[in-house]
Amino acid sequence: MRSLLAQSWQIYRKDMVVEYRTRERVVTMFVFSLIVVVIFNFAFNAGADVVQRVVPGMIWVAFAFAGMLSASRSFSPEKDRGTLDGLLLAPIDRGSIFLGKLLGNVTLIGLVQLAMLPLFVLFFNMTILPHLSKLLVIFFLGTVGFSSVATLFAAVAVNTRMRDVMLPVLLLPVASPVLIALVETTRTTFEGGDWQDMANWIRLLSVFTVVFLVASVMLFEYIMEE
Amino acid sequence: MGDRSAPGISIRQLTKTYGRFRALHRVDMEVAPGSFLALFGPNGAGKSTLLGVIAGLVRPSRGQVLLDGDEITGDRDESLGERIGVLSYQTYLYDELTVRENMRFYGKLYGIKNGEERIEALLRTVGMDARAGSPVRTLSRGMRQRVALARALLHDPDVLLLDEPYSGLDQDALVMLKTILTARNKTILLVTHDLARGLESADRVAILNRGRLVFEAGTRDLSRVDFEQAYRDHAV
Repeated sequence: MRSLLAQSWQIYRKDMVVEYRTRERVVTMFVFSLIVVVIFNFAFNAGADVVQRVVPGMIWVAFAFAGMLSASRSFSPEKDRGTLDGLLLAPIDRGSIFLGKLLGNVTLIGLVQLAMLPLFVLFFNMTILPHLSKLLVIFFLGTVGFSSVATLFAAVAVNTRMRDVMLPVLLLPVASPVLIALVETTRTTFEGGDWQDMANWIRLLSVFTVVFLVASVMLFEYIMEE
Repeated sequence: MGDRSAPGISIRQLTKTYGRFRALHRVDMEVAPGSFLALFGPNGAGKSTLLGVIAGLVRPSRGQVLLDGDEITGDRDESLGERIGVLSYQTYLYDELTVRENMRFYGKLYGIKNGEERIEALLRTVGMDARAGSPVRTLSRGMRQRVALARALLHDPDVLLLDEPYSGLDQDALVMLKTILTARNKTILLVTHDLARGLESADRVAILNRGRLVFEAGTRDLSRVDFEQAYRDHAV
């Protein structure tokens, strides 16, 4: 277990150094999320009550698509440059490649969320400070859950010819429960609800995250085989 | 790793199909411990697929590969990576990292002890110590291949799988590669289109065509002219 985590850390660290030097993924994800916010801002020029109901969906549409970009780019350059074979040849648990990539995706999506939340507040005149602790838990759980399944399917899609089309086709149906749970918990939080009001959704999010995380680490070996 | 004796490779009835396409068909081959076998064949003959199966990158449809009598084509054994080094036309290097950062990254994945000393020594051996701090993207194709050679030798493997390793190398680097390969403390399987270089370095040569092993011979009594004729007969 210790070596699995140590190997994952090396892969994560390498990915973050590469990203820091290129800023390839994070800039694309931020620009995409920003465009979504601006478009929705014009599309839903409505009263506060409507905004409160619509914004949670908007937030997760932006982050889900940004997350998809991140997951896809976490594997496609490795495949195109042949470095994925370099990782697969190493005497490491291949689950560590998944975990390293997952950590990278969670970090980048988290950074985009940090940058975007103030913009959501600005554009939609929302109050988030009283709900901040709840939102942090929901966003963390949701980002890990969504990234687990996105990272797994990005690894599946990278070996297919139409990988850019395959990823959303594979991912979105499977990730729907987690996205619906995220929209519901975020909406309940903005409406002033407490943990009890969203207990079932949180349970669903937690189970989904744990199941996909564990299954992905175990299945990754077979997914990477040609 | 390096203190072990070089293992023999036995390939038995190896078949790999991709859908209806048969990349390898019942290939039987032996590479004796510490020997050097050069494998030739036209494009699409299945040479790289064969190396991929031995390296553990490709799962065969049927058949076995044995390393010192132990099957390596069943469930993946992580320690296989410690015994095998792969040098390919793909360098497995990250353009955005420096030469030294690439070597350190792979050194950590391979659990190399005294990593820094070994990295510096290998970079000196391949003549890349002066460019250790340069990002890989700034290097020429030949320089990248030199670093790739250092990366392949980093964990001192006792089996070397070489897929077109000469691509982009200048004369000095070719001499250096030849010196390393002729040290003969490793079992080496080379895939190349360069008949002259392959024949010059190897103990045995083999020709693969359309997934089948069609020719195999020792190099001691095989002249270049005879081998070129054999290649024309079996692979063209």
